[in-house]
Formats: sequence, C-alpha cells, structure tokens
Amino acid sequence: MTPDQPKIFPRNLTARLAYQAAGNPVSSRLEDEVGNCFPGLGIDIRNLDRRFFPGLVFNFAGREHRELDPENPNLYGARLVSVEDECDPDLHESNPTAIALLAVFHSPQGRELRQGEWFIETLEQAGKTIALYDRNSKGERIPMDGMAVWRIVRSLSPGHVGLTLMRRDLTLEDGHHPTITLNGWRRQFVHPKTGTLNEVYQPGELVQSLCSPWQHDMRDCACMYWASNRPDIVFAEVPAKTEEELLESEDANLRLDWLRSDREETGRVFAPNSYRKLRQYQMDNHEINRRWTELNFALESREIGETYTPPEPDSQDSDVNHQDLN
Amino acid sequence: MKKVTLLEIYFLPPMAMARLGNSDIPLEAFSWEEDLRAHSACQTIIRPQVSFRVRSDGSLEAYMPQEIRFKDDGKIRPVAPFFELWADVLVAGEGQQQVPVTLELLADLGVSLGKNLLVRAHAANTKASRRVKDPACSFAARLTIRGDDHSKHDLLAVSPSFPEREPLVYEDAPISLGHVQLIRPVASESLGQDLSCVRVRFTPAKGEVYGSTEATMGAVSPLEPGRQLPYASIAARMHEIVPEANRILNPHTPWSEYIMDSGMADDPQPSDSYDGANVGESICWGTVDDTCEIVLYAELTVKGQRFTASTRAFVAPPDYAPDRRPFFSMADELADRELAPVEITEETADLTALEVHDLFKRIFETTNLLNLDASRDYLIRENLKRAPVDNWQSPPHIGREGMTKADKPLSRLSGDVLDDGLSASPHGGHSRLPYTDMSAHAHGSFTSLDYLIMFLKMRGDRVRQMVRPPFGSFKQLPAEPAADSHPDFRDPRVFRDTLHDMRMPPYMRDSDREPLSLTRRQYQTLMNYLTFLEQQEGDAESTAQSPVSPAPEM
Repeated sequence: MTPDQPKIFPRNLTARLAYQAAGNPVSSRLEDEVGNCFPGLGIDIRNLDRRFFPGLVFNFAGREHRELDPENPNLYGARLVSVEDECDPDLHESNPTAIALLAVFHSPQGRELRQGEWFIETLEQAGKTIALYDRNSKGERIPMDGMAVWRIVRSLSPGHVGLTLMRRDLTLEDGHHPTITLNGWRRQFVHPKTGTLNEVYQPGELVQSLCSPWQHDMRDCACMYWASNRPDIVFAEVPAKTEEELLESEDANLRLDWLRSDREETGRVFAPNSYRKLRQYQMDNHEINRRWTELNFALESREIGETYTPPEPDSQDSDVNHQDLN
Repeated sequence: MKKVTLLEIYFLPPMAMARLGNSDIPLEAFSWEEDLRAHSACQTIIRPQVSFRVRSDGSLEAYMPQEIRFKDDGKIRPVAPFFELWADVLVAGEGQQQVPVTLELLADLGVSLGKNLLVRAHAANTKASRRVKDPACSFAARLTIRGDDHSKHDLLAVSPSFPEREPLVYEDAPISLGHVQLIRPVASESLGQDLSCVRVRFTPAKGEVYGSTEATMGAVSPLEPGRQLPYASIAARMHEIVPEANRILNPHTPWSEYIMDSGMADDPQPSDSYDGANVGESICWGTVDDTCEIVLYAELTVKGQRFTASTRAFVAPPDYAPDRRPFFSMADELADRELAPVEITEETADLTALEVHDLFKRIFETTNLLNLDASRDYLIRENLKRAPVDNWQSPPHIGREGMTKADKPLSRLSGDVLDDGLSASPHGGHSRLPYTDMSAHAHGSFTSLDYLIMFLKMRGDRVRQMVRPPFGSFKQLPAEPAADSHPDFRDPRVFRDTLHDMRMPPYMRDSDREPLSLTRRQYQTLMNYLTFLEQQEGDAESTAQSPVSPAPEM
C-alpha cells in the first residue's frame, strides 16, 4: 500500500508485481483477474501444476461429478503425458538434486517412463506419504479422481517431493504393476527476484485449457466466481446527471441480468432468482460470439454507456471516509 | 558521461493482463481509488491517470484524460499494456542501482537501439491442440524487432507443419493475435513521465472467432449451463457460429471431430468448454478464438555480452466491471503458492488491518454483482445430485435449508428473514433477490474499518465459524483421510468437504469445482489477525505483544 496506490499491497504480491507501469489501466494488473478458475477466463492457473515436478508433465484426468463407480477407473488421476528433461531449465541447474534427478531420466528407468500409461500413485513431502486413491460404492480402492489429485498436488509446499509412478497398462508376472519412485522438488513457479513465470512454461500453456472460444465460457460457465469481471446482475443505466436525480429515478433499483439478450427497453426487467428462469432470456452460445461487444460495462455496479466520469469527492465530507488507524 | 556497468535487465511489470477489444483505440490508464463521497460506503472507483497516445512515428504523447471511454461507437477498447525495460547497474561512485533503460543509460553503456537491442515476441493459442493432443492444431506467431524499428508488427499466427498432420490454421490464412510495438524513446519528459524509456506495447486481437467452412449455423442448448441437451429435445434455437469471412480453418483436423470425455479422459476440466458441447453428441464445431499468451523478450548486447529479459501477457476478455475487484485474484493465487505467511506483530498490525479491510471490501465489491439467489439455487441442486441431505443433519445444511433459519445460529441475518423460497428483504417489504440483497447488506457494514475491527474483536468465534476453511496444505492433510471434516482445513478426500453450504464465500466454485474458499494465505492471515486482536484485548495492559506466528501446519 502506497499513497499513490492505496489499493495495492506489495507484501501480498510476488516479486516486482507491485510495480505500476505508466500508461496502463489497473485492469492490466493480476489483482484484477479472478484467481480461482474452472477453467477461468484469462489464465487457468492449474496449468502450473502440470509441471509441478521438474522434468515431468501431467494431465489431471477427472470426471464431471467424481462418480463413485466410473466405468473405467484406471483412466483417472495424474497421467504422465511427457518426460521433458532436456527442455526443463530447472533440471540443468548445478545442484545435487537436479543432477541426480536428471541422471534418473537418462537411465533405463527414464526410458521406461517414456512408454505406456504412467500415473502418480503416491506423493511424499516432509516424511509424509499420501496414496492417491478413492473408494467406490463397495468400499474398494480405485484411483483417485484427477481433480482431487490436482488439489493434493496444489497443496504441496516448495521443496522436496517424492513421487511414485505406477504403470497401469502393464501387469507383471507377480500381478503387480511396475512402479518408479523419483525424488525431486515442487517447482518454484515465480522467480523470487525477477517475478517472471518459470520459463519452462511455453507461450500458450497457461491458457491452453480455457474455453474455445472464450465466449462459450462467458455464456455458459456455472462457477459464479467472476462477478467482479463478468457481472451476474447490474443496476440499470438511468439518465441521471446528479445523485439526487439518480435516487429519484424509478429505475434506480432495477437490477438487470447482465447477459440478457434483449438489450432494448423491453429487456429492462428484474433479474430472476434462478438460472432456469434466467437462461431463456440470455444470449445463447454462438450468438455471443458476435454480440459480446454489446454487453455493457458497469461502473459503481450500474451499467453505463460508452464513457465513465468519476465523481468528485464532496469537499466538506472528503475526510469522512479516510482510513486512518491512528 | 557516467561510468556504468550493466548487471542485468528486466521488464516491469513481469506479468500483465491484456484484454480483448475491437476498437482501434486502446483503453486509457486509470487507477483504483476510494470513493470519498459522503454516501459512497468507501467503495472503489476508478480515476483516470496519465495515459499515452502513440504517435505515427512510434513515440509517445502523454495526456491526462478527464473521463474513461470504454467503447467507440459500440466497439470495445482493448487493454494494451506497456512493458518498461529496466536495468540493474553499477554506477561508479554511486553503487548498484535499479533504473529504467533510457537513451541516456544506453549512451552511458556505449550502445544504441539499432545496433544493440532486439525485441522478440512469441504468442500462441494452444487450446485446440491441448484437447486433441495434436500440435498441428495449435497456432503461434513469432517476431523479431530491431531496436530502432518502431512500427507496429502484426502477430500473424499459423499452425506448425508436421508430416502426416493437417494444420488447423493455414499459412496463407493466418489469425492475427494482435500486434507488438517497440515504442520510440525520445529525450523528453511530459506530465511527470520520462519518454526516453525503452517500452514495448502489446495490443491484443479484436476478439474474433474463427472456424472452418462448416461452422455456419448451429443449434444451441436453451438449458442451464453444463446440462446435456439430447438431439431429440433440440428446439432449434439457431445462430451463426462464425461469420463467413472467418471461416478460414482447415476442416480436416481432429479439432472438427473432437468429442469431450472420450479417449483418455484427460480433457481439461470442465471438459464441456467449446462450441458444440452439450448439444446432441457434443461434436466440436472446430472454432477457435484469437486470444493468446505472449512472452516478450529483450536482448541487449553490451561489450560482447548478451543480457536478456522477459515478460508475459495473458489475453483475457474485457473486465466489464473494472472498479469491482475479485477477492481471490490471480495475484493472491500466486502469493499463496510462493510467499511465506504474513507475520502479525505490533509493527505490522496496522498494515494487516488495512489488508484484511481491503479483503472485506473486495468481497463486498464482488457481492454487488453476484446473483447469489441463482447461484445458491443452482449449487444446492448440484449438492442434491451427489448426496442425500439426511447424511448431514446439523448446520450448515447442504440442501434447501442452507442459509435459512434452519442454519441458525450460523445463519444470523438470513435466519431472521429468509425461508427458502420466501422473499422478505432485510429492509422489510419484498425482494426479488433476497439472498443477494442480504449479502450486500451484510458486507456493506464491513466497508467501515472501525466497524470491521470492532466486529472482528467481538465476534471472532463467529467469523471462524462463518468462513469456510481452505483445503489443507500437504502438511495438514493426514496420510489417510479422516471420516469427518476438520474444523481448520478441508480435505478433498472427505466427501462432506466437497459439498456447498452457506459458509463464506457461499455457493461459488473453486478451481476443482468444489466450494470456494479464501486462499490458505488469506485465511491464515484472517485467522491469525483474530488471534492477535484477542491477545490485544486479553492483554491490554501489556505493551510488548509477542508476535503471532504463522500456524505451523499452514
């Protein structure tokens, strides 16, 4: 928090992210982008975790409702999709752990990992091991759903991680599946000095799981978490020039569904209280591909036309709301 | 001329959001400020800041807008961030300094823009290739710009070529992902801005959607989000999918045949995130957008040594409510992953109070635009698909009783005024969106710092009950899942922890589709601050407070 940036708190930002470059609107900052994502509109941050363990790339294979009895439970979990030891800069640091891990990737075990369907079976950190399994309706152990695995991977702290991978598409003579245990670390995602994302992440990688096209998600997501960027409801625009005029307007408290298809006077009706009632009056998929520019910006929670002029502080009241603890 | 040694170069900011817009004029600069009008309830407003107009020669003209224009004749202005090049230098007699790379610094280093600076850009859209696992369905653009070239460079993206694979974007029909411009530095200052800095600007694309010749008219589902519409029930609401001019993609790629949740089942979640999903057989229409993630690189050669810097921008849709801030932002997410917990001491207590206050204000700002009634209704029905309500009889309820008087004492405001389906407002009379109104009413009180601190001091136990714990850190999670929920953290293996209820934030989803919480770091800061306030209250005579250490398990 600084006098010229009263709503920026450097203590809660990764390196150099507090800087405000001249000429940029505050909506270019990461504080303005919704962080939780399923999958998100601007960044799907879960993609960081695909490469949480240097040298390996995973997909988190999940199912819609984490049904107890999936048809083929062996499809789900953290599936190894690629061994990328050569293009991972973290593996080419001259620290003993990196050297040892790189040696494993170059060994016969590393070659084994490049064949077949490998999934993470257990995760270990600080001496604790968590086996990644669910139980089906009969109480039998089945592989854990990929979204739950992601959550556990996301819970890791920076530092040592051990993981055991199991090859599910091959059964040995003893009835077991081949396993390989690796010792590495949870990747540092943001450089502590430069503040840049780890360069292992390729352009496009952090957004690869977002909706295609994004308008589909703008229309059809049911996550309810991004109202601050994509409103659910807004107060109707009213032709008021002063606060008094606004309060006197009969539409002052008219709360509209922001995504309504009818943008004319006939569409100015109170937003209903369920998506079932809302849906038929909203823009459809495909339709929104063309009409997204018709959606109104909302300032002070109220739809505006094309411009916004900020209010001047009331001179006699300008000290009323100053936040001063002393 | 100073004797200067270059140690390192870097871009500021290290990451930024760009936002789509189809106007040729980018959005001007503005900041977040407190609304100081008497009746504003301390809400956040935006206020214009010094902005730059790029002249035809690539140099900047600084000006201060009086208003913020978001659209030009219906066309949305894009957010086109500037990135400044900075340097760590050692100045003889003055020591190490962090300074912007300016014409003067370049002269001190004995280098020039044209001979010693290159800017490179690599932008890509890999959404289709991620789903079909075919790199030929990605498309990317690369640029190299000499330091004395200040023209706009289009990012014309095409698909890479591989034997036996069909490229999605043909080489002779590229998709524009925007453009990059190396701003011409000039030795002058205007409105407090040094115009001799080396700056790069990335302008995102126009928000176009592209498809193949087959992406003409398509039936859509009239159902709620995420619901599958069988062919037999399609009521044939039809819309054009892609305008004719944008039907330029190869129709013979796997992207035009893609169906979610088939094959290896490792689609990104949610898997129904493409045009064509949830209608009939969910066959993809093969559409792509012109968003991207771009990495910008600078290379400065000085005395035979190459110095490099990079920065990254993510292209997002417009922020349609730019004065309303998320309480769980991308910055919070990164901090949660990378930063140590906040330590609260006497010295940092005031700052922590302001941070906690800001968090509550952000929550209020989000609730202003959230249809809580609709989200509550939707996610209670999601709960009921997954779990019998009888399994959990005590508050907070997972079914229709959630956030009603049945949830007392947790439900204080709502318990007094609301039964499910009824619509009395907290102010009396009737409300069409009673939960939405109640939420704004409840959180509006916390925009007063004094009231918030008093509330936290007096009702700490209530706050602990009301705020949903985040999923635990690996250290917190037991090796084997417990039978029941833990009061301080949730466990993705404990079924009850994955069900929605009225705890805060209520009826919103997290990144795994489960109920949303604050980040662990935010939650820990709030809980530790409650403890700190209680210690202060209980030990008021002591002048030397011991610090509240971060909870060891977090």
